[in-house]
Amino acid sequence: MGAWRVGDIELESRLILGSGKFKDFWVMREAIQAAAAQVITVSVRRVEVKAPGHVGLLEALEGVRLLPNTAGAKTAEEAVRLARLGQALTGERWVKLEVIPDPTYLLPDPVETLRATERLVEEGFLVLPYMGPDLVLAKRLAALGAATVMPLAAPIGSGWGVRTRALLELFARERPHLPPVVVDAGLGLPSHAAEVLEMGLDAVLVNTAIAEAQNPPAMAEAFRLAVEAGRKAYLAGPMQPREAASPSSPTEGVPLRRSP
Amino acid sequence: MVWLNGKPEPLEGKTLREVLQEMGVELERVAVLLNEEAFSGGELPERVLEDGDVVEVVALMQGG
Repeated sequence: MGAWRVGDIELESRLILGSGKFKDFWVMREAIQAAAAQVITVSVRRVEVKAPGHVGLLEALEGVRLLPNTAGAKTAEEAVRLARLGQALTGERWVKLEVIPDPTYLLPDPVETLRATERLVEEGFLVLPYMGPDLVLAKRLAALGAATVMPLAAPIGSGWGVRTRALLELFARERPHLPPVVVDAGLGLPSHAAEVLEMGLDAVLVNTAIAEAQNPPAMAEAFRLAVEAGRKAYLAGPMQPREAASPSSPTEGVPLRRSP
Repeated sequence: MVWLNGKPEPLEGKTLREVLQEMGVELERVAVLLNEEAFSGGELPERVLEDGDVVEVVALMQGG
């Protein structure tokens, strides 16, 4: 289906996974394999005495490229510190930038996101900013050097689907003037992911819809197939909808009918 | 006092390596923020901690 790029990083899979909320690392591992995911997000948190992180997490994520996030940051300054720590932990110079002051709806702060993007780009990071579906902000982030833009489909973890569709259509229309568009947050079903790819947007990031499924590996596979289907449908060039029905069978020569 | 993961601790004069060893963490699984600068656990600076230093010891966790 063709590779896509985040900065100088070439990727085949258009399904990025989040590693949160899986009930254990082995289910997560199976889901990663079923999704054929190449990239998985991770967070950065304090280590308590005698509790050295999630032992087993790195082993479960072996073979996939880690994308550290800045979840927990409420300001640009906090996000920059978390990004530096994520780089020190993973050796990766890319970061999924999240600056979220609001705990109820988990909506990103556009001003702090812009400030953090500017600083992180200056420090040499590939910045993948999570953002509202605001095309003007997307263009401002792109002008600063963001490697992608990551507009939300719906609030994080909501599973509401592509509620921002009308605004994401503007992203699709303006795609030639944007970096890759990765729709992040709010997707609940594989059909939602297919819808995003059918629009011509580049990729999706999915976490809760897979992690909270009764069978996460099976749901991961379903998302993989939906992303592939959506991308193929976009490349195939969808038909134009009409205002009325259009018969699929010839209207002439219908038997059993008398001519007037 | 040194601020270690948000709490004041009497760690002046110690190196980060000594602090991490006392915490019982595996160096290759952690990173450290010393004031504004980040270091991987395997590449810690040798300087000793001073009064007012802010130290965060972190690891990767699950997250979306």
